[in-house]
Amino acid sequence: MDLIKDLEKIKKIRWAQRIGFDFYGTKVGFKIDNHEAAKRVRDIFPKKSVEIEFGETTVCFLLITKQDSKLNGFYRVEKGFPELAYDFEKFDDLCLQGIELKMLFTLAMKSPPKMFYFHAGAVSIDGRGIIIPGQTFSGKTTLTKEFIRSGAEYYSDDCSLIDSAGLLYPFPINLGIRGEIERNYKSAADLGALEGVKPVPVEFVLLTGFKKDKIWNPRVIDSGQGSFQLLKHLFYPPSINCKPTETLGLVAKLAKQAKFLKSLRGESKEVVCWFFDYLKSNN
Amino acid sequence: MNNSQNPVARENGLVIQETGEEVLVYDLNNNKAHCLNQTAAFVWKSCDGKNTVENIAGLIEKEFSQKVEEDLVWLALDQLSKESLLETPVMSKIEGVSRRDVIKRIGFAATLALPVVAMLSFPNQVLAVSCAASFCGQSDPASGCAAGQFCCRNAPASPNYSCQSTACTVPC
Repeated sequence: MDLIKDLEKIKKIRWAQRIGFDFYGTKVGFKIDNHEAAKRVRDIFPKKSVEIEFGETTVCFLLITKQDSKLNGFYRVEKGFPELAYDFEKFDDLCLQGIELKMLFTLAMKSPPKMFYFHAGAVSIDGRGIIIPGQTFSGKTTLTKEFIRSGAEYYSDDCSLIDSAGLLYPFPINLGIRGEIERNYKSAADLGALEGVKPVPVEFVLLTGFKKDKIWNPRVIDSGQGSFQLLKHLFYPPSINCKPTETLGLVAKLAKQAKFLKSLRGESKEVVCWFFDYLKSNN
Repeated sequence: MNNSQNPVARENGLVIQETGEEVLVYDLNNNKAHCLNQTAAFVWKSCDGKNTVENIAGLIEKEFSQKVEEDLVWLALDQLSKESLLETPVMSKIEGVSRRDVIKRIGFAATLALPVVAMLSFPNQVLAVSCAASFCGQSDPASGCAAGQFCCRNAPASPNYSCQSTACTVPC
């Protein structure tokens, strides 16, 4: 597949809209060739982002939906050249999910020195941040959903944002809940839950994964080792190459301030009940 | 290969962060992160080119108030050398079956933790930028990758996804 398509044709496109947002220091812009698509792209802007003028953005995407089928696609512009980031036949909900994922990668790739993205769910209970790192299919969303149904505030599913001071930021993307065939996306409000509004310190890291019939029996592991293992869950792993000092600094910070609990789990309800009891008795 | 008993800790090309008892190291030359536990960190810091293996064992005894064998120091040096954290590699005195015997023997005798150098490898940014910008990094439901696998495109000419066990490191 050709990554760099016909540059001249792309240069001649009359863009319907040029829009941009600033998300905690990363300024992302979109050029979109039709108004309807622009409206749908706005829906996937991160909720805590601030809309800015396209001219202020430093990262540029092109969304082409109405040209010939060879040109249609979602491109990231790198050093003046459009690189195909996501190819699609039809601009539909599935396509938007793919575009959102590429956007998340770019946010992680272009994050400022003091911001870090992790592949983790995140919630808060009484101002105490809990993150649930894990690979895809490990059960992060199910556990995150159970936490917020039980009264925790929702901070993120799949992509959590932590700064160099060890603070967890609200990044309430829609939760991707797997059905038998495909994933359905629901907001925290759809699930009757509250979204977090302000940064909270990360106090707990749950190193867990679903295994049928397993009983949740966590042990507190060495913070240094636990924090080091968290590096495996950087949303965009090569980001450590750009800011190794800052990344190791965050690891050291989290080792000091957070507890690392490790155990496989069965049903998520068991984990959440245990956790609320634990917090009550360790307040 | 250096069989010198005066090992030297490497400094060039390393980002070092102390965290409590452990030491974190990021090697800019090969994009690897290391976590040295307390014992490994102490041995590494003692590798100043002047201390012999015997000296380092003595320093450990003084610091942790317990007798240690030189083999414990060699165990640490072996790992540090393999991970390129010494200026020049040292010739391992502990190999094969004898290494396992040494670990068992030291493990039973010592209350000090055996030295451990944990390592994580990270993809090169140049390769991963084009990959992550296009398709890779996360399991894509449309690709059909199995549970726990990452979706990656394995060749520029190929439109097909391939499933990797770790995050994609293959250039697109």
